[in-house]
Amino acid sequence: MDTVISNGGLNGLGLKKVLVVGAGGVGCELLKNLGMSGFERVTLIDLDTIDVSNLNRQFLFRKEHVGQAKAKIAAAAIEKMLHGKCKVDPIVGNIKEERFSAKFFGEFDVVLNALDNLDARRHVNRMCLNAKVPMVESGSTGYLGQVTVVHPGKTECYDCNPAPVPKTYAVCTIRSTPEKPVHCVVWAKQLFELLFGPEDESNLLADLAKNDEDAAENGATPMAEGRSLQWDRKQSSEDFAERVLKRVFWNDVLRQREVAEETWKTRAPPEPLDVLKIAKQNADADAPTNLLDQLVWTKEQNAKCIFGVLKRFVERRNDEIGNIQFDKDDDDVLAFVTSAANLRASVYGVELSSAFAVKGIAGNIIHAIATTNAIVAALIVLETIKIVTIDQGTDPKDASLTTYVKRFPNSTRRGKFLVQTERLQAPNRACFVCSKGRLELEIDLSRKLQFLIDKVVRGNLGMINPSIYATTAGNVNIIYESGEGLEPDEVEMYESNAKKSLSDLNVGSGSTLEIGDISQSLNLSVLVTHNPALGSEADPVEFSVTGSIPESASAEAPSSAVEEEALQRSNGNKKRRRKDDGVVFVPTSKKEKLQMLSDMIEIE
Amino acid sequence: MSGIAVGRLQQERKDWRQDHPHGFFAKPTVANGQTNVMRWECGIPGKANTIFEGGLYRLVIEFLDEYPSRPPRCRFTPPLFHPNVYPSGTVCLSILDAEKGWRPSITVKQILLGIQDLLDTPNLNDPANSSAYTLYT
Repeated sequence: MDTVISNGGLNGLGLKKVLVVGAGGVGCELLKNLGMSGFERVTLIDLDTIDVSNLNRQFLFRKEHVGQAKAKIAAAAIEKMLHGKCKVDPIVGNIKEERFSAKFFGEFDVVLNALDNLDARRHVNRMCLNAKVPMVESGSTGYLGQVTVVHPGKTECYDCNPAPVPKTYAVCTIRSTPEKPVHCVVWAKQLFELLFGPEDESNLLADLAKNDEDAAENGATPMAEGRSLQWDRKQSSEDFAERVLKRVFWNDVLRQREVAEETWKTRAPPEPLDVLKIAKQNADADAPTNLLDQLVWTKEQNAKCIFGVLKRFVERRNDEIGNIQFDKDDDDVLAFVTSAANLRASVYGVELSSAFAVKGIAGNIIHAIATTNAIVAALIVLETIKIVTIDQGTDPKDASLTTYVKRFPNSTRRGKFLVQTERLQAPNRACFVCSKGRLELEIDLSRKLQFLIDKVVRGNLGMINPSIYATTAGNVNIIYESGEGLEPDEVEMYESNAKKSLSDLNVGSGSTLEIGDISQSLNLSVLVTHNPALGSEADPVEFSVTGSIPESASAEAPSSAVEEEALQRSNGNKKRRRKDDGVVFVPTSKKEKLQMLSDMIEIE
Repeated sequence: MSGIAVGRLQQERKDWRQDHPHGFFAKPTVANGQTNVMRWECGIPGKANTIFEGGLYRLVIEFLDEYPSRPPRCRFTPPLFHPNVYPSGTVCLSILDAEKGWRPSITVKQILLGIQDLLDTPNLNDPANSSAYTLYT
């Protein structure tokens, strides 16, 4: 097979060094496109191994490769496909490791993201800003896709737009009045975590575990306080399953009927279900786990499945109970969540779902579509070629584009187009990553340092190896450091600090936290305000982080415009709000369509 | 506490963690859970093939509010018997002398490497401990 662009390559593409991060759905398409376009020096990083479920769309892999490292197999496949013309250097590893330093990134002409998660995207963005290497960022979910470019310091970086807020549902919808399958799935996941996961006070069903009145009323032996719904280690598996099923699908439903009586005037009240009876009556029904997961199980099959799986956890995995995490690829877990969600759905008259659908909802995944991946990968290569062949002095905003792959084509006078483009924006001046914005944190200071590290620093700010220096009234206290280069006694000290509350560590209202990440070379200044109401029942938001423009920056520019822009962004600019996977929805405007058309011509 | 000194020392701490010579350590001291960035404890390994080989020599660096305009004071604890180390343990080295070789750009790493060098190559023009000096010469 010869490359699409004739031998010798286009404009010396063969000399450009390209880093591809990820060898999944988009990554496979991308590698093929790069090779066929004449790129010859590609480095590929992926940490994953090949799974059977990858084979339908990750076409560089074959059945016999299952279990092997994606990076290695993909590199070998490309070399074979192009007769060794394109050299792919595979690295099996996590891009977040410290060995992939800014120096490592700095050796490439361009970095191409073909990632599947937010954390890694944010990290690569920071490393590229740090190393001043242009980055092409991409995302694909179902029919939707997006490709955009970050020219460090010249255009918006990945963190310039506010991070997405994971979708949550009102507690009462989950707890008492489910209307859609997704509510039942969320509920089933919570039930799973309540029964088998680590103790978590914020579990929506925590009251279910503690409320023991029903059991006593019905003449059952009153159980110990606390985790009464969980397996108590003396119970037989059958007793455990019986108790759980009775409590959850019978007693609790009866109570909900009484409590929310008003609600049931407008819609059908829930019907309690004697799951145990159904399961036992249908003992000879097909075991649902043997069915194709695309089928929707019947109520009887669900009942049988949940009874079986509850027993199975106690009989075969009892040493793990209390420590099992929700994992969509764990068959027992998926069987439990599917059957529990479906039984709840039948109680409340909600339609039932297949295990396949439940896996998608519970695991927060949208099934990938190979054609979308192919379109996205093609767009990445177009942007890459533009980046590496750009004339010195050209404004990158004129050269690169953000492109969206849409579900339905846009009709224009020139015909119908599935893709739509948008110009790149200048960096957000309030961005805490690329423009030294200052952050303000509101938090309850009786929280532990560990909470700050896990939820705020790693979760919200996307750091990997954070260090936290607290300045209170001019005194600096190094309260936390992580990553390489620490002595064992220091590690021990920081571990004990993590268990202390922020106020015990002398962090108060008005303290400044210098939060930095060694590998990302990022240092943030965060002003702390104590707010004891956060995280309480009245205000379930646990903390708030808001960005503001540093005084020095706003002084330089006409302040009103900048502030307005910042305000618009912090309010979650609806037009460009990013979804979990990096897909942004944009309205269509005539100007954008024209832009897109002119770009199409340019490409031809 | 001076903002400039503190800011610089925070940066020194980060730089040190990212890159420091093998066998050395250096970190701000901690008392009652409070870090003192103005006072660091350090360890310098003796060079191979010298009489100092195999030892780890402990040192305290005390930074002043005027740092980095003025050099820090470096003191071996316990004091080291050496021609250029005062009986109190304080190190006498040109790069640590505001009048001689000190420059604000000198880093903690350079200071510690300089002191390591001094161990087996004493400067006999600038003795600080007369008995050590006499014995050595």
